Amino acid sequence: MRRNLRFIWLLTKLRLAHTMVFRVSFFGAFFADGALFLVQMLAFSLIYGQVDGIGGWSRGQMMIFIGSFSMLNGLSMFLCFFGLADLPRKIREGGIDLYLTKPGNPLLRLSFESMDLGSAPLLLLSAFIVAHGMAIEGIMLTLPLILYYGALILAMGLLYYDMELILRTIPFFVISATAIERLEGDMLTLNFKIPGVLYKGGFKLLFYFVLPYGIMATVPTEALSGVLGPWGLAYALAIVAGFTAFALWFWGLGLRNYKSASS
Amino acid sequence: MKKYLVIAQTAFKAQIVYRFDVGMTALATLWKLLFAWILWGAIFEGRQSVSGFSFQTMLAYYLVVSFLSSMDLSSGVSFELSNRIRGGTFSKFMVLPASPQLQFLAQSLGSSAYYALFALLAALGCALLFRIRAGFSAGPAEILCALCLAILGLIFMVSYHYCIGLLTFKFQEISFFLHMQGNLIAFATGAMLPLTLLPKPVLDLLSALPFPHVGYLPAMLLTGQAGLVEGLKGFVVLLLWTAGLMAANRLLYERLRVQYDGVGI
Repeated sequence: MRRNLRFIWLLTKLRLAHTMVFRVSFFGAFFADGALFLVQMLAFSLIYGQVDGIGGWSRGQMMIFIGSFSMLNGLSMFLCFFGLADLPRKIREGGIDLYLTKPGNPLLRLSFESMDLGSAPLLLLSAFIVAHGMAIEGIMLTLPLILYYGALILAMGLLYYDMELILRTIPFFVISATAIERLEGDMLTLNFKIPGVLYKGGFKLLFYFVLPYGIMATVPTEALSGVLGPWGLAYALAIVAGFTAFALWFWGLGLRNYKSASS
Repeated sequence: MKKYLVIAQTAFKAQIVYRFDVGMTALATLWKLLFAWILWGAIFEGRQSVSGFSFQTMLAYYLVVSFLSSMDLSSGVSFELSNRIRGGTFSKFMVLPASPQLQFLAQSLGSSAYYALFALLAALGCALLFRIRAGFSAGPAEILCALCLAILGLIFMVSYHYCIGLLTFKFQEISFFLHMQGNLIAFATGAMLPLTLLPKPVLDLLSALPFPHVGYLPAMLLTGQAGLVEGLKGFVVLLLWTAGLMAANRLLYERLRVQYDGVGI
């Protein structure tokens, strides 16, 4: 574990040296995604100007939901998105050879070698949106609540990572990954606009169990607003554990199926 | 004029190669409708209308803006222009005996025409699936006005993205700006939600800009939420912006192209 952490720290320093060369676009992801979530806030504020609640959720809860999704997205952009995003191309072009022959865990290197430090302010912006939601909702900030919410965000961040990894491991078995990437984009776009509590029937099954994007920001929001019961918590943690185990197994299976394309 | 028609025809035919992309873009209409159906379904629970919209009209609104945004491929213009300027392959457009702006316009409109066929099929499918026929209540004049706005809107959006792309001559790296403005434009065109939800002074201010007339106004006209006078006013505003921007682009190109030092083809 300590060795892995030292390895991640080394990758971070290398990445920082690389990205500082392109100073103008250093905070690019922050501005692009920050604008997206601020527009989302504005859109829901306008809707709440007309109605009192959406599916039983108040304006404050919706702000916490937007902030939580923004935080998950920020964590992913900061830590591993750019590393995993390039995975299908590396599989297709035989670039995984480089990772398999180097010492250290190839998945760890692939995931964390392209950290985007310019995305880090997204976490601050997200915290601000969550705090804004809490103020509207009248939730008192206490240390246990921060720790509870923080732990759930980390767990859901892991689930977010699992989904990214699973979808980008599929190219080990197929030629083109375009459909998978489009599917992920569409699912994320849909789910960061719609809280999981609004899903019913087949959609609930789809977004709570098969592609669990629906629980990612919903569960931390419910926890913070005090409506998450023990069963809801247990279910969310079971989903995280199940998907993490599956993602690692699937990654291993993909590697065993890997046919290098390089000379 | 004939050469631009040939460029548009070639772009139209070239899209046959990208069947998957075309299919997925058409499918995006379904996702947007699904979003509207779930979210607005929850909002309309126990309510007959929200800001003058019934649930059916709201779905019809989203259907129109989704259809229009499926056809709009203008964001590709700024990305292509930016990549070509940085990569040195913009030289191709400098040596051809045609205006780069009109080439990009013809190319984009040709591709849009092909996408429109599939977007229309997807929209019809969604209309049947979500049973939203009742949401449309426009007369022939309003339909014609909406059609003119939609076509002019496509031309304006290409001009706008061409303008953004030209800035690469000056700033080199503009990708983050391209991503950032996309979300703001989506809001301003009414693709995220009907702009009638905005306070009236803000909406009036926004109406002086071209963006609401690209998506929001045609959708409002087709759903019977806006009248012909409003539509014609919007058309004049959009026409002035488009003409002004195209003229400004010409000047900007002449001024900035001397900074180009690419050597590729």
